[in-house]
This record gives sequence, structure tokens and C-alpha cells, in this order.
Amino acid sequence: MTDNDIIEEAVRLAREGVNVTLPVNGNSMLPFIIGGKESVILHSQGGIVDVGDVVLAWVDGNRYVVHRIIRIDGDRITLMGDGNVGVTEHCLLGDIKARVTHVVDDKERTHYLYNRWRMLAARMWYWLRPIRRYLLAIYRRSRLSESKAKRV
Amino acid sequence: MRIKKDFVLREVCGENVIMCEGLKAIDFRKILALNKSAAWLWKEAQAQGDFTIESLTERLCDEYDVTAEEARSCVTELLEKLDKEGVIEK
Repeated sequence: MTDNDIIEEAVRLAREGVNVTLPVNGNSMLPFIIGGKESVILHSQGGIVDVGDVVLAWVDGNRYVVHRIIRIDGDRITLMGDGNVGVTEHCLLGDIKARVTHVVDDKERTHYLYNRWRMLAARMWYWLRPIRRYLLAIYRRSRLSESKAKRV
Repeated sequence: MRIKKDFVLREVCGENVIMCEGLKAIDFRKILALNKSAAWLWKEAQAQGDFTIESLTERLCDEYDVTAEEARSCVTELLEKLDKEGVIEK
């Protein structure tokens, strides 16, 4: 059973109205989603999405990603990972499989992704793209020293 | 021993997978793939409710052409795996 099989089953269940918690990997959604530690809760979006939404999408015809929508031109969607500095992905509206509504942290706390503060932070983060590289480096370094301190 | 109530066996893409299901919620962080005989043992454990290594070993010997020693080893291995994943309560 591959990751894609698992994701497709998760999407099928989300479309049945089930709240699906799915683990995520990678750093592409830092600092809003920490891959390997945090999970996301998926909801069927019923074909309605907006710029700023974090979605599970089949992009570039070859892979699934959990990334944020940065542009919608009719049926054409552009996505970008919050933890990426320049790479974007493209897909059609029909390739958006589910909307991510919450993040579950490593202490099992659930955080809504679209409260006023998180939306404001996401918008600011988008405009900070030119210096994201440096901010992410500082963020990663601080997390590294945090985890080292925990180990001592 | 008992299987915890939120865990269920489902077929995903032709494979037997244990998932944690709450009320209208499924947690894919806790999924475990089982082979055919392990899936059979899971169903048997669920049917028994309260089960022991001995009760499952006995049923496995009745169902499959295996020695008691082989069956016990198979049951023990599965139960250790399920216990490690927090799927059963003792």
C-alpha cells in the first residue's frame, strides 16, 4: 500500500463527511505546520476554496501536497508551501481534494487554521516572501537549539 | 485482553488495515496493515471479546494447518505488535 493509496482513502472518507486526521511530512509548510510532528484534519471542501486556504491537492499531475492557495484564476489554482521560498505548484479546481481545517500538534492540541490571528499571520508571511529564506533559517535554528536543550 | 473500542479493521486498496475511528472521525496516524492470518486473528479476537493467547492459539490451530507452537508464536507476535501500538487493553 503506497502513500497515495492512503491519501486517496483519506480523501474518500473526508468526502463521506468523516473528520480525517492525516500525518504530514516535510518542511514545506513551516512555520504553520511542522511535518513529522503535526497532523492535519481534512474536510471535504465541496468545490469551494479561497486564496489563503490550506488544501490537499494533486499537483502538476504527479503528486499530492498540503499547501496554501496563493492564486485562483477561474479553474486554475496556484499553490505554494509556507515553508518554500519560490516554488509554486499548479492544478485545476478539481484537483483540490480536501481543505485542511485544523492542525493537531504533538501534544494532541487542535488548532483552527483560519482564526483571525492565524489568517493575519499567514497573510503577513506571504508578503515576507523576499526574506522568508532568512526567517526560516532563524526559525529552524531556534527549533534545533530548543530540541537540543530538551535532550540535555 | 480486549481490543479497544475505537479500533476497526477496514479494507483499503485490497489490504487489511486497522484504523482508529471515533465518532465521525478517523485517525490515519494510527493505522496498521495486517496480513491475511493476522486479519483473521483480529476478527476472531473481536468475536471473542475477552480473549487470551491460549483462546486465540486454539482457534488458529482449528482454522489453519499449523502446530500449536507455531500458532502460539504467531498469536504472541501479533498481540505484542498490537499492544505496542496501543490497540489492546489488558
